[in-house]
Amino acid sequence: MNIAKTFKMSLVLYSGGHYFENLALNKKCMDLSGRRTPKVTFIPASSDYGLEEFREFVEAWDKIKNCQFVYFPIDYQYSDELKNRALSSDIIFLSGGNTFYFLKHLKENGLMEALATAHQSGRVIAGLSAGAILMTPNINTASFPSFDCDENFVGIKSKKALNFVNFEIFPHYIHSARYRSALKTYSQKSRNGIYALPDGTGIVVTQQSLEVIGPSYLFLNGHEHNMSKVLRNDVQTFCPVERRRFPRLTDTNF
Amino acid sequence: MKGQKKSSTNTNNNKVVGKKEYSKILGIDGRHPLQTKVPEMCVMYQVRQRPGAQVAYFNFDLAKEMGLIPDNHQAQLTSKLQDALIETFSIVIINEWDIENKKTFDSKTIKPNKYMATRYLQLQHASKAGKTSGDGRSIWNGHTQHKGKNWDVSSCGTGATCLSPAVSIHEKYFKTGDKTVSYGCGLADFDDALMAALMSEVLHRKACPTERTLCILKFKDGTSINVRAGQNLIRPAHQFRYLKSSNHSDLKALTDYYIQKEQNNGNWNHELKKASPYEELLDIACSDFAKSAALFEREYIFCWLDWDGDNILASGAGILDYGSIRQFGVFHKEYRYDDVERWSTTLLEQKSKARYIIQTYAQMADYIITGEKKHIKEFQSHPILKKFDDRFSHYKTVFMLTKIGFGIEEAKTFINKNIKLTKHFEKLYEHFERLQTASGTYQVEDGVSSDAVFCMRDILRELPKLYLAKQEVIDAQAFVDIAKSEFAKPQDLKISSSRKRNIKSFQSAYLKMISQLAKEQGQNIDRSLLKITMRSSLINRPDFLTGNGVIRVAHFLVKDKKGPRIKELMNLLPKFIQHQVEGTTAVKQSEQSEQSQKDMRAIIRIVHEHREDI
Repeated sequence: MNIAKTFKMSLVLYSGGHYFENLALNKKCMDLSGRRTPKVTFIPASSDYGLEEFREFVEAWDKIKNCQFVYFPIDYQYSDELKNRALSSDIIFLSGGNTFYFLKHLKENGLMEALATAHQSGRVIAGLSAGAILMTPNINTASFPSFDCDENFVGIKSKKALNFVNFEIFPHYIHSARYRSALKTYSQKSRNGIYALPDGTGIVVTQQSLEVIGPSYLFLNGHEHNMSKVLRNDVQTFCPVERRRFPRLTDTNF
Repeated sequence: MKGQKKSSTNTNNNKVVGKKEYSKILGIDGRHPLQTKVPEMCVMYQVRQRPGAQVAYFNFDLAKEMGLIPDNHQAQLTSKLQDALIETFSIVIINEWDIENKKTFDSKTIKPNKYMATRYLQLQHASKAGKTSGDGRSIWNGHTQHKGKNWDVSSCGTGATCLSPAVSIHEKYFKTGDKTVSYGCGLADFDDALMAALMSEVLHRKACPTERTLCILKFKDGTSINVRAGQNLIRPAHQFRYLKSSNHSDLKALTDYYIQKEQNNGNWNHELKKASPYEELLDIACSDFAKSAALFEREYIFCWLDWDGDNILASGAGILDYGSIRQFGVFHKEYRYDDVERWSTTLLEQKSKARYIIQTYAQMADYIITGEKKHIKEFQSHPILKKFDDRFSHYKTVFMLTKIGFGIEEAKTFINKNIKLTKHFEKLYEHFERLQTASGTYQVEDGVSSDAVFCMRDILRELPKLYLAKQEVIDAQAFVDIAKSEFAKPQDLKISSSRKRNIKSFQSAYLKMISQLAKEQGQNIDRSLLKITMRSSLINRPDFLTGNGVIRVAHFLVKDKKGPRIKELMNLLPKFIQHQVEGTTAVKQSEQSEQSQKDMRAIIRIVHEHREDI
């Protein structure tokens, strides 16, 4: 089983936290673009508070490298011209917010296909929290556990997402009994492995590798696996950045 | 509910509450310096406590600014704060009708001090000299001071006074609450109070001079008392009344009082440049009215200005009395309010009315100085009017640039250095802004209106984003698709060769301006576009609050069964105001209740539906 799809890919999945708390992942995005001055399109999950997020995003990214920024809110009418221009950037960043609301507007505006095209043409697609969930096969992890989930106030029925990778992620993970229990239960039903990522951590997927940045947990068939322990090279266990080849996603590895 | 109980306990523990804490609120008790400085302009009323009030809204930020509550006071309406507000503001006048009909009231409910309604000029009164006009359903609660600033406080909906149009028309006094006369009944509707609170606070936060709502008290019959505050609630109409009636001594007394107050409040923070303070007053009024008139025109704020100097504050030419105030989403060029016996001004006519007010100020200053009242026509070539025109034109250009996304100081500096380029763009901008649809003028709920072909907010919001992505002009069809208003029909949107040329020129001038701005600031054009994008996305937000938008929101808050309960309004209103001004809301905040998030979403949906409305 492949980790991700077969075409050229550069994907960065952030768990959450402030943009300035994700410096390693931010830098990863920039490096993957291969540009000296990458053009970055920021797509907020909602135009409401989107600007606030964009400001913080620009501030954090500016500290690392000179970038060109494009702001592309999608939940109100926009022109095809803007869509075409925005999706031709080197990096396309999907922000955090309500996953259901975000997915609804991506679907309604035909952006699922457009993002898939951008992805296949080698652009870096990155997402934080809701934005990261959207890059996986479905958005199931947005709807549990009941004490920490997004409200489906838009009444979206299909939870199918962009399916750029064949694992799921659970952002903002807190390593506690109740979260663990919820994830174990879900992983028994899901065909995919689920990465539970605390804030400030993330996953970088390229055609050749999958890197886990920071501590993470993998839930598979009702079991939890601490990825820091599973991965062989323990030297960087306590380092904020772990750069590892990812083992195949089967239970036999553990 | 758990949250509310917890907060209330916390507040008690913090010992914020207590009667002494609210002594400044309780000290607003009817007394006001005008009662001794210019007693002729005050009609004094005994007042009594009006039972059954509930605090529906309290502006904590304003109350802190006024020093009515300590800076560290939590934004929680404790029972003691509620009691203080009700005790202070839940009042109704004992009016002429009550006295004529020998009504008696429990002496314990009668306040010790008398409260004033003020006389001023109002064009809707048959006597154009202000003999019968003034506060028809308002009284002044008093004044307060904090950190060197003086504040006036007045309330709307406190009973029918002898100064309402109904009294002069019917030549009899009315019982407070008499339903046979709507405006003359002396009471105010709760939804009107909510509209005024929302609109005034949004405009205030956007740096538009205005009175603000301090508190709304709601009653079971759907009426309310709307408590407003401002640093100086004198209107030109107060002064013009004395000018009309050639009452030199009271005009001088009132003007001296006004000037002194402006100086004390630090609004005249420059040295006296003129020989006479009255000439100085004229000069400042000229600037203020030119600035406000320019802002109203640029921001599509409908504020019915007329010769009487009513509906506007003298200080800063700020907005007051939100009864007919509207902000449009697009340039509804022919909108006129139908006041039964007369039509209001249109957006473009407001300038000439503001100019006439300045002409009247010139007449007034001359009268005070010389003691001889000359005819108003003698001032139609007064040099101050040329100054008014110049300042109006300057501010209109400044406000066009700020609407694009320039900072205010940035805009002023830019104009000084690039006047030709800016004026060239402004001409193109106004060409697109003012085009009206082929549908022409038609009737609306409260008057007549016409519709703009283009929504300039949309094009100003989208253009910098497009140029950030690629610095190339967009083609005419894409421009029209973005800028078209919801009212435009295919025949309005045809792309003729001249329209194509104008679209190209518009974009070219726009890019030249941004490029010039970047050059002057020593930065890359992308950085300038980025700043402009951020500002413009907020200023020209797609869910822009319009007049009809606020009416529907108020309706939802008050009458819709799915709407929030009264207790939830206190949290909801500041969040909504914040959303309009800063682009952030409670929707994202997980600590907000599900109901509160639902309400906020419903409000934003309503606002969005009316974004291009009148």
